[in-house]
Amino acid sequence: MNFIELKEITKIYPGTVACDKVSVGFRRGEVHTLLGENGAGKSTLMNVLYGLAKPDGGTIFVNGKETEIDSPKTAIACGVGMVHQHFMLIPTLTVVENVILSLDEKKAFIDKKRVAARILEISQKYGLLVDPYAKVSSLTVGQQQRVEILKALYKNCDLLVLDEPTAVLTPQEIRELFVAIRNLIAEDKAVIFISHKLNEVMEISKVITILHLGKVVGSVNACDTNARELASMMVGKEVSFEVARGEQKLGGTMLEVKDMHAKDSKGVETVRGLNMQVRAGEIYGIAGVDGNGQSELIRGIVGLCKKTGTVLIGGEDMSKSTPRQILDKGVAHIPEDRQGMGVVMKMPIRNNLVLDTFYDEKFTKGVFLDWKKVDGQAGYLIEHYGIKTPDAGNPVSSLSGGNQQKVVVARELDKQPRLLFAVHPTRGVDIGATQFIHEQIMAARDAGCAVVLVSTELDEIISLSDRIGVIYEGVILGEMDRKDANYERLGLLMAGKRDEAAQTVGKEG
Amino acid sequence: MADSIISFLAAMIRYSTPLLFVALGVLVMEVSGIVNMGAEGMMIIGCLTGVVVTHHLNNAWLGGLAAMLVAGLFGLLFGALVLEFRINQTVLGVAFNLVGAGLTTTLNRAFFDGMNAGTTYGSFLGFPIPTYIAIGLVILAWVAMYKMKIGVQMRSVGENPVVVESVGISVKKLRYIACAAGGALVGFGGAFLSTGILSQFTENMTDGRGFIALAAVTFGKYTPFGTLGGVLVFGIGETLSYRLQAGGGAFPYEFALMLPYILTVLALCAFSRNAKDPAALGVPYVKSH
Repeated sequence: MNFIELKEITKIYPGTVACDKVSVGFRRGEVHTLLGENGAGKSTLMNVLYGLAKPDGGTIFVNGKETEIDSPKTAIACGVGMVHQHFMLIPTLTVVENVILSLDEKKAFIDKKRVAARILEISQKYGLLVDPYAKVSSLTVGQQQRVEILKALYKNCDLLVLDEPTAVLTPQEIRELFVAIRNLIAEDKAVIFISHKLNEVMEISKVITILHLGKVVGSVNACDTNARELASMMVGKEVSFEVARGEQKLGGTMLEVKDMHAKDSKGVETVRGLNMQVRAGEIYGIAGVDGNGQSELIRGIVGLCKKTGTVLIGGEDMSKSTPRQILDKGVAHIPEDRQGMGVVMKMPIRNNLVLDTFYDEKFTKGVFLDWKKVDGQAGYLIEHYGIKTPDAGNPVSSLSGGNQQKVVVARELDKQPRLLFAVHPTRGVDIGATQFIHEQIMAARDAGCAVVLVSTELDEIISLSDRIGVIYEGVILGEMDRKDANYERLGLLMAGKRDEAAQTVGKEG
Repeated sequence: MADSIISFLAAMIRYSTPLLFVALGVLVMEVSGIVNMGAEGMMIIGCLTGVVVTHHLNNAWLGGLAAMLVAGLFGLLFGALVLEFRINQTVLGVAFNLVGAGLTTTLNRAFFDGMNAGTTYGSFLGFPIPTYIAIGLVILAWVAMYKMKIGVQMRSVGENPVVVESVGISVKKLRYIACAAGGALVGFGGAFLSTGILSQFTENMTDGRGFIALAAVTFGKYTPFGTLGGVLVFGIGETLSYRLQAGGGAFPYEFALMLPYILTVLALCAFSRNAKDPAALGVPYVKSH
């Protein structure tokens, strides 16, 4: 029997039907994935389930009984627990204080010892180890997520909703999360897993329900399907994972980094004597677990953080140059932190599309901006790059993650760069937009641009790169050509095991 | 020598008492995420109310209570303007200071000029009783902040109100409570200055203490005992300043007057460079659902 069943749920927002008669049931003891692109209606459906949105039609059954869930409190009382994509934690409070806050008990005085003991008990039972007295700000993202799950379990939830839980995790943390999810299932809890990373979905789910444009496309058992089928159901058309690569026109060395050192914001040296070369017409993929110096490497090269060592761009020494001077050499940068570095969220889309070129003669009349020309450029980019928006004057914050990233990609690639840095270009972006962005990066490479691609997603690295370097503790630990790359070898290098990785070369034949 | 040190410390504690009340009031509001730039204005209102009510009822405690009530209402007004109309808190604070100074000056000149409080607070072991209350409040504030549910909620609402709202607790309610309690404490600080330390109202008698209270809270990294430390730094300066002026020596009195303020600024520079404000301090909150 279904523990919770949603029947013909409809939710209408002005202008869109977010959920259109969606029916889906969740059983105890299994992971049920909701799969769909941004805007498919997953979040709306979960908000209805959690009492955050009032449905315009349909009913919810809990243990077979019709139940009205009008607030998160009711939802919690029904046994629903939710881990939001953006954590609901107070960083300056300890774990135990955060749990206490979420309980809202009647008593005026708090009993940290009792709560901490219960947290420890739950965390041991499910393998979600965390120090109850640690300040949340001192925890890693993965540990913070555990705190969120513990908060839900503390309130005795029987159904746990995990909204894109792996988007912010390292591969190792994802393994740990999956272990915890399996423990939950073993204890007869129900888990709703929301994601669009197909490999993960295939691995962890029992049942997969695919949503597209607010409707259920189908429900399948994971064992009866494959990633390709899921992808086409999700996007509503055939999806190709292979990015068509044109003939390589390899040119001279466009980027050379010699003995570079750089520190992160805490003063820890994260780039430690790194060397690399990238030629025109190739995609150089940098694989590695987050935090191994990727961030400081790219920021250092484009002049956004201090570094020592030599950086040659097109043969010229740019080690001491400002970001503007570096950009003027034909460098484009799709930065890692889209909302912090890539766009100005509150500014209109049109402004964002000329954010680093507005001073160009193309867009100015004397000291004034020529808004007609800016509008012309914006209109061209919006159409050419398929940015979905009714009006170029809307703020970027009104766009979905994928479309925000398209704004950045459009702006950067329209410059027809000689050297492109693409850092996590598809993080938090749905499949349709991912495919598009991959094609654009490949087109730049085919046109002779040197591309440095930084990603933690091995699929992305392997499908795009001509050459791959694995970054580990601030150096490139190993390099290989596209034809020699495989998961095992890359995975071992990412874990710092160079010798074991070397042994895999022969095996491949 | 020992005698003079003891008398210096005693004076310091006495002079610090009004500021301690004000600083605790500011602390309560700031922890909940509201910048009380208007403490100076609320304090001076407390000063006048204290004198007038004490004079008429011949009871300093009733004067203090009245000051708490009136300044508490001003606190609530501040809260309403910030929470309902989302007025910029810094600008609103400045407006409160101007209103406080103008209102008290006008009322004083028109009705209460030269009025003497007539009576004062009782004392125990040489210190006025409110001094003990103030120290008790520091401890109480610590207990409330770290041992009670309300404290966890207040600290949370100052960091991220969205999280607080998401667990079904009203952000507005918490912040209104902070504003009323904060205003009342600031008001009592004013009343104690005009009827406990002195015995009458003079125009602008608060002399920037509302701002010093803000500095003390920052100095104290938004903790009750830290705030006490910040208040004492100013108290040392103030006591020194009086001693230097009374000493009548060659020390120019203008510099003596500057001393407590300079000391506060130096202390802030030295110890509070890494003070982390509550993340939501001064940020208007809009309910999303």
